[in-house]
Amino acid sequence: MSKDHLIVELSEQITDTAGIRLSVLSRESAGRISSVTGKPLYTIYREALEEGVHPLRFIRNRNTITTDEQLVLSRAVVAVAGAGGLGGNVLMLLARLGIGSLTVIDSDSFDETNLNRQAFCTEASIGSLKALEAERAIAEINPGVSVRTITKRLGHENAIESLQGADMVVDCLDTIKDRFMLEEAAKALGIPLVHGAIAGFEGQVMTVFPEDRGIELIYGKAPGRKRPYPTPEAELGVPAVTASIIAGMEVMEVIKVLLKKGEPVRNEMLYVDVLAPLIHRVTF
Amino acid sequence: MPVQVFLNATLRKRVKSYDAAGGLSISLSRPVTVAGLCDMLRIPKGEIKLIMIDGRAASLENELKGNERVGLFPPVGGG
Repeated sequence: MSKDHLIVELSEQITDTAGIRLSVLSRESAGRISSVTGKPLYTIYREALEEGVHPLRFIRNRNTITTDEQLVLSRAVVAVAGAGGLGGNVLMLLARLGIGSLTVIDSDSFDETNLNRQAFCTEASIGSLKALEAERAIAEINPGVSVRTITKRLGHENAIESLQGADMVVDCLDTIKDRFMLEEAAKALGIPLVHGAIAGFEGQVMTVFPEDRGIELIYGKAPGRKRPYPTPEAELGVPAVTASIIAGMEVMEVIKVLLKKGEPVRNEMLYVDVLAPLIHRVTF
Repeated sequence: MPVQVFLNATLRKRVKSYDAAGGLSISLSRPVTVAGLCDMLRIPKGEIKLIMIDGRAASLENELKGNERVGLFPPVGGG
């Protein structure tokens, strides 16, 4: 068996649930090719998609996501700032979606109060670094993701370096001050940012391209030390449903930006109140 | 026609028995600014970061004539 044609040789013809015939590569076959060639799964899946062979693990993304679009996702590098309530859910979805490379940025460790909403917080992971737990959990979902972890606290001094190489960044932070710092770094690197924030049963999403005014449209000027912002989330808490819904909406923005389809929530804010339920669309 | 006012997150506690789905329905006898509306509702303006009138961002100085849909938002920042 020639190493060059392993993907095609080990692929199988199937009919998908939409009745379309296509070539697929199972995880067992991908694993075999990886051991024979020494290439990481990340590369095998990308090469398979380049040959028009759909990894079986992504078959149910079709035909909403085509094989060509799956290839775009497999080549993408997405940074996620914060691996807590929003970030854990965002990372899980991005891994299942088939984003090729993820940068996970979080310096915190899990504690008991995170169990209510943070996707990777379990009895066993309490006390462990969130970024490393995320890496481990992502590998269990999709070992074909190339994961880079950053466990240093994100600050002005390392934000640009942390986001280097990313095609876009997802804001899953929990303070407004840090969100401004992240946006500044994303703009400096010329990459889009997806903003999301939650409090109680409410949350908001906005996608910021480098030339956009960005989150100051929502928050006004960045908060200073003398005039701290009120923190509704401290009063209302952050239950799992809201974290999950807003994380899903943030990932939808990632899909739209990477695949250049649909309309990103740009220069406007989508505010979701899941209790009422109401959606406010605020245009700036 | 009354102004429909939607209070969000912590702003809701400022108005007793606030109905999240329907918001507040406020009849105006004369035009009033958003700042004036906040005074009527006893909502501290410092708690508001974003104002929406009929789907567009607005300011405290914007005048309401009636029939508008107003949203008041505090700075939601949790994650």
